[in-house]
Amino acid sequence: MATDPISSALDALVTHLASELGSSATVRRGWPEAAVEMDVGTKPEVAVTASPSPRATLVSPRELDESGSETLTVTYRVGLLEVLVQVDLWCAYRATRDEVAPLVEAALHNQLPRTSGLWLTQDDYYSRPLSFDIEAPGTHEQDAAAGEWRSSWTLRLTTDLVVQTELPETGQIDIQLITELASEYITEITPITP
Amino acid sequence: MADTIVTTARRLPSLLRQRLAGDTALLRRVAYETCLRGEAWAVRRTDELGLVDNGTPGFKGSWKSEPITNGAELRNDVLYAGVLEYGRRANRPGPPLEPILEWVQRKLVANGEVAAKDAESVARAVRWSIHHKGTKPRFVLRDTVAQMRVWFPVEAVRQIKRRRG
Repeated sequence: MATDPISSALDALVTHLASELGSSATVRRGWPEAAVEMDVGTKPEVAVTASPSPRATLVSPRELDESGSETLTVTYRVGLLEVLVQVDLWCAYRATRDEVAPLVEAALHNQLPRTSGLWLTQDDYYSRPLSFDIEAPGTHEQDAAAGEWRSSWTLRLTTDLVVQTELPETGQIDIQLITELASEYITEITPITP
Repeated sequence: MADTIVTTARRLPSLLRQRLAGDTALLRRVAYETCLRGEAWAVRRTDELGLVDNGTPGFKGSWKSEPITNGAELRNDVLYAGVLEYGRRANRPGPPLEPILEWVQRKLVANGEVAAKDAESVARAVRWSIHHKGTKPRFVLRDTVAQMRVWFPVEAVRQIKRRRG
């Protein structure tokens, strides 16, 4: 199980885009650095880059799941995480970009016609949901002279921050005792309840 | 406390219009104040990311807030602001030499680190480096806008409540 929600979210987004775009484009995670060769002439490329400054808001912990018998493993949602993500599409020709951009746009709105935006599930981070708000795409014509037509989308990703803790056996005994006391108390008041 | 206004049916439309006009003006002011706060935030983010350039027209010194018809605007007018915000792949044409040359003259020549006659060759070397390395997207404006989205409604509600007593 991954411990980094951002990494897991980006993996989920890349997998989703790759499956939706199929053979129309190559999808890669992370900004294409100088060492990365991109052959946009053969196939358009899509890159997914996250902002370096995510924002976390802590919330009152809520139990999501518990498992185990002797030692309980309890999963809590403890916060909300917001990250900005940039999705870039590079194509060799304007016509190709105008063809592929609507495919990317459609892949980024998998909830239509119910609502706009993208909803996914993180396979590697406690199966928590991911919601993406999509802002209007921008086009960058500056690299057209070098044979690259680019479109980019800004996504506002929101997901949960999760903490998993183990409760020792003694904790369960305490809970059991309280339950027993409560049942006795309930038995006592039962006769007078109409 | 509940806000109670006693009026007549005839006066109600003009009263609502008057009240909405007052609120709109107040929200415009709040939007501008939020932009000013955003400007300070953006300058701090610029510092944190090491994109410090105080000169004119440096990136750090070019954050501007202005009231506009529908609210307020936060922007950065510097020529390469878009490249810093959205990034640029390596080995693409540019960047332009002039702003780099201006920066070399202001920072390095003025400090005596580079001789005036070498300014252009140093600027070309810096340009070559940027050209071959490219720049990652820095998200300065978009991170700031995300923060402003939190500030604006909180401040707007606070100001409207205060105005209505």
